[in-house]
Amino acid sequence: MKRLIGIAVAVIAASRIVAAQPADVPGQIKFVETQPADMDKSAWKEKRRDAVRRLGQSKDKRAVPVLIKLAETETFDIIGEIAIEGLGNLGDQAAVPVLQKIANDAAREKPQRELAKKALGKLGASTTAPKNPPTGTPPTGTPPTGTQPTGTPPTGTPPTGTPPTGTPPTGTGEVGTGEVSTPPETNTGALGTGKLGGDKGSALIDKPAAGLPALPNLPDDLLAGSERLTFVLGSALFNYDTVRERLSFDADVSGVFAKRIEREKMAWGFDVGAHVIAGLINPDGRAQSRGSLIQLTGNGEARFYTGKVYGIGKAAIGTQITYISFKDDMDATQDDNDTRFSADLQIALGAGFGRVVDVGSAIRVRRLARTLDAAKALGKPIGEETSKKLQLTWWALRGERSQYRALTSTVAILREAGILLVEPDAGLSFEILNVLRDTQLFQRPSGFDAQILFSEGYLKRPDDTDMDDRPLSGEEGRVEQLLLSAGYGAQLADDTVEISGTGYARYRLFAPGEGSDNQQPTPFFAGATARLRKFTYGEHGDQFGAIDLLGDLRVSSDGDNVFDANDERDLGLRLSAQLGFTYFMNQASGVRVAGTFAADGGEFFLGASLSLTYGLLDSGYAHGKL
Amino acid sequence: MKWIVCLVLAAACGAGDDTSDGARDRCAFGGAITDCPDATKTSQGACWRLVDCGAISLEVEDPNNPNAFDWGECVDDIDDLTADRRNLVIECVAASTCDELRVNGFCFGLGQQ
Repeated sequence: MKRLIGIAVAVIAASRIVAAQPADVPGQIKFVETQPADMDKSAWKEKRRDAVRRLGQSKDKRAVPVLIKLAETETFDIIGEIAIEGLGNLGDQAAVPVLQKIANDAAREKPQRELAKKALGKLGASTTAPKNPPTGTPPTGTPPTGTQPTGTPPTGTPPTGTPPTGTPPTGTGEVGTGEVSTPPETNTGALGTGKLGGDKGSALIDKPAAGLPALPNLPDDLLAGSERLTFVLGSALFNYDTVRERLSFDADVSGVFAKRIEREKMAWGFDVGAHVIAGLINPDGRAQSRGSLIQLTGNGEARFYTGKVYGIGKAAIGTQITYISFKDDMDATQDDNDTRFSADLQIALGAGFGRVVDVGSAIRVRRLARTLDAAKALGKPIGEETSKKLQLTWWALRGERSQYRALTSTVAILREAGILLVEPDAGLSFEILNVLRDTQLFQRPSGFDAQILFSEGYLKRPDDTDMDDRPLSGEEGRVEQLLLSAGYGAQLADDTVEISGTGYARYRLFAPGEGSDNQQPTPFFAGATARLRKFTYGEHGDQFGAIDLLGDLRVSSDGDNVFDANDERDLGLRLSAQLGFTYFMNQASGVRVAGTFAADGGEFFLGASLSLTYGLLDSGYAHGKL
Repeated sequence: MKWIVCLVLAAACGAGDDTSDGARDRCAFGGAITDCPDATKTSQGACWRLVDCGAISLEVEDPNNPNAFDWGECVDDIDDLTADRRNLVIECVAASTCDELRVNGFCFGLGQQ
């Protein structure tokens, strides 16, 4: 019942506003700010222009903040020009800074700049912009309309939130606090304070003005970029019991940092990682096992483009140190201590065509635009500049656990650019937040890439050999190889379906052959993987997860395997497929359930798995045209 | 149980004509530039990595073959270890390079008791 009363009062109020007289400044402001429920958007936009024109002629300084906001943000609608003209008529010096800014803004259309100069002339001010414009300060003498005593409040209800006459005693609900009975503070906050950072109004608008993060310094011709830092604590166990007098400990810790930058003419990326495993098992008595494994890796890549063709250089280093100590419970002659060291240093040079980039961040901007459009709050498309500003802001805020600043900054940027027409209500805020929290927007490949590389490297391996004095590791010393790879990614159906695939082949060249003192194999590998992912969302953009289907085919040969030199059945073939569902918890974390089928060497395997990963600090950027 | 290490090496040294080796992964050979992600940290995942690397065979059909340390034996042996030793062996196999896994069954050394 309360809701019905509220709607009825709102309809009456809207009717009154449409027919409002020039003196009804608060009513005009409210109408400019909020689209009446019973009016379609095109009609409202038309009448809104009339309302702004009347405000500009009202001589009432309460209209100044509204017109300043419109002059600043409405750069593509005639309403912005009407507001600029109105500011000149109102004669308030508070409008001077913004008019100077418009008059000197080369990005503005010439008629707007001319109107701003004319308005400045009416105010007796020069067209030169001050060095430190007083942004964030509300116009002098023009407090927000919601706090002013108005001569003709729309419904006659004082702006204190007092329930209207006749409201039941419990009237703190929708009727009593409805938009009619109480001047909407949020609206006057957005418009009434004029600039972001005013001392009155919405938290979504005001706070980020002072708190927008410093954006990362990235090249102007940046096409895409990504940064990923992941720590994985696989396990850390410590046990001791007095029953068996047995101590055991093990830890498995790893970390990887990866960064990649894609520019028009070049691209580069690197990753560095470390992995440590340590364990101790010390039962009662003499027996004891100790072991540790330390692994360090680093990879780098640089590409130089001419059109879509590129030259590429890669480098990879890796080292692994392993240590084990074993003491037999009964026989000291069985004790064993072993330390091993291996190291790789490799480079590769080659050429390729195209590129595959992670466009997840660009998809986030597109989702944002679709969300605003569905809520009828999208004033104009999100342009490249705003898209870049949004993505770099998210990048800068990637380390924050809370999404609060990401939300407030996003709203502020969209409002400032005139893209978000109204200050978001609770529903729209929730939907924007869902877009910002969407963890399905990382590692979303787009494009095609193929490359061929020749690799030269030196592999240091432990000196273990078989009976024929051949290295057990298979390859060691100088190793040359040919590497081919290809990748493809496409985002379809409003970015809710992804198709991707990779192909890879490797063949060793110039291996020391039969008769050599150091005979080594010539293995090859060729494989391809295809993946289809369908991302699912709820009605308000809540992400549910992803269903994925993956197929993998591989063919390999050990190439006169040192372990099996006389085996002619060296060729291996495996076909596998996986169907899974992943539920995302945060940017780099998720739970996954999957069923797997594999066929290899005439054997079949069926399986199901449940896995959990946890990570932090994902961010990315992709040019809007990708 | 040193015999596990010996079995890994023995399997790698040739199990005979009744053996199915299985297909390799891209990182089986080639060094750091052809690296793969870590294996799944289960007994089955660790044993798949050993097959992928050519450290053990997928299947040795002759049950009387003393070198029959294939994928199935590998899973059974890891599952038979005490929980703390099982963790260590699986973590070690999952993280090690293929060249290390082929050489000496180092990771199974952590399961000795």
